[in-house]
Amino acid sequence: MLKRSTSTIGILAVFALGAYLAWEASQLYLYRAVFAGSYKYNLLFTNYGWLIPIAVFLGIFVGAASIRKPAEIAGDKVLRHDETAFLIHWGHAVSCVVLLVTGVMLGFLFVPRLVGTPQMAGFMLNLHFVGVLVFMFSVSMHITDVYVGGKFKEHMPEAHDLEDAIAHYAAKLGLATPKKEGKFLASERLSYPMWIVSVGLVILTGVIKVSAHYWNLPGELMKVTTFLHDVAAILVLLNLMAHITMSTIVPWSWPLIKSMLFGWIPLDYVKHHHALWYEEITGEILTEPEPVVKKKKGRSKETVVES
Amino acid sequence: MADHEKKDQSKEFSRRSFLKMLGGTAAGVAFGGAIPQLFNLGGGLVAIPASEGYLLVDTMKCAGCSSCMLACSLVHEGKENVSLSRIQITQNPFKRFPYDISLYQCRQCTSPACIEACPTGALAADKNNGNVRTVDERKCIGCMQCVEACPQTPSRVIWNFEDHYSMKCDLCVDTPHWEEKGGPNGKRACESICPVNAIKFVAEIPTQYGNVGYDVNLRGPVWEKLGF
Repeated sequence: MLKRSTSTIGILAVFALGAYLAWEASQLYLYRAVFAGSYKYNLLFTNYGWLIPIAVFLGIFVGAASIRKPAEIAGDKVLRHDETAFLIHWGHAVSCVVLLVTGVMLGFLFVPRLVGTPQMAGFMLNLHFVGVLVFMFSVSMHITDVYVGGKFKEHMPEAHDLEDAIAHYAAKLGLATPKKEGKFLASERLSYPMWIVSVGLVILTGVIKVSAHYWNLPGELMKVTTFLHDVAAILVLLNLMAHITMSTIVPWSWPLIKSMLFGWIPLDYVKHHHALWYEEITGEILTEPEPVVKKKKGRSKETVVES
Repeated sequence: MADHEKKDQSKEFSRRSFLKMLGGTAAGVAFGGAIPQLFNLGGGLVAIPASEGYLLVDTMKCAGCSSCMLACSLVHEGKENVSLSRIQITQNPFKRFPYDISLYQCRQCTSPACIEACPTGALAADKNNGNVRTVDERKCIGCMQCVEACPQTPSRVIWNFEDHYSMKCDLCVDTPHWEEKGGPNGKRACESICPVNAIKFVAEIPTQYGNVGYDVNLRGPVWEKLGF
């Protein structure tokens, strides 16, 4: 299993090297010395498209080779996100941001036209290609991991999830009694199919768009594909915005950012926010959801108990 | 260990092993198969059939009225915008008549660099319309390679700054805002509207003079007296 430091260096190295290659490839060069001369740059999608299936197969290989760690308890902490989760999550995160930024810069009308020269268009397209490689690696690794571990049902919504999600946030606002939650919140399970649809559509249309570099596809198909690729990208953007909002702005998610970086989460947090998962990993049955315990500023030893 | 647990473990093991083997082997085979690509320097000959139509422009006869630019933009894009015209006129105030006007139109090159540069086949010789070099904007990915590849200055491939795709003279093959039939066998909007007949369509490949253009003389006997 790859260590966190190795994964971090790997992801950053791929993007640093990729950005350098993308920039180098997007520089114009004289390719036909006639009259005033013909200039062009290299498009990685056209020259190195074969790297995409390699990224997919590598993702399958690494996903299958990674043995997931169980939720280990050490003192007052629980291992929530192991090294595999780290690589899958941050691979998705960085590549998603790169793909959305480059895609939006190339495509949308309501953004100031930052891409005004062939070199910049080439740089953005080439950076998009680097994002595609990491994204396809991460997606195939995640799918393999879910398939091998038989965890698909764990991520998919259950019958009562919509009511539970509403009740969960109502409880956070003090409008309802909190319910016991598992490892994944009901709202997280509800968002999973939305990710599947948006990412599935963006990949399907993306594959067709890459294929157009190698085969002569009908114009009508490309028109529909480009439109759907844009729509899917907006859906991914909305999903990502909701995901980032719920994980960074909402205070009760902050410990999860730490665990997504370092793996460990306080056992106390699990007890209060993921009671069902707590029962599963400790064997202890909680009679009712624990009240939220909040530390007061400046009085580290004193605690205020909210109902 | 219970039997069902053993069964589950072996099932997981076989799945995992299979995918590990599949992913590793396929990545290796794909990389091995792609090695020749690393040494592919390109440069192969590309045979593109010659266009069956060309526009000739006589810059000495042109009065610089810009009617052709407005007509071009109107029939193709549905709006009169000189920046969206595929034929461009410039006027140089420091030069004297008849050398003060330049007219830039696509030459429908016999060996088009723009087509060779297009990575998606969006810019191609239209076999159904006399091999005119046209852009299928549905396939255009906005990489601007064709704009840069055109050896003429200014580039005869125009960047549509509104909808972000390349466009060039198609001899009016695709004119959704014009009732007339365009293309090599129909009419051309610029040619039809030019009040001084400074634009002419020909089906044969004209004699080309370096970077200057085609050898064109559309002037009549009264041109020296009247200027058109």
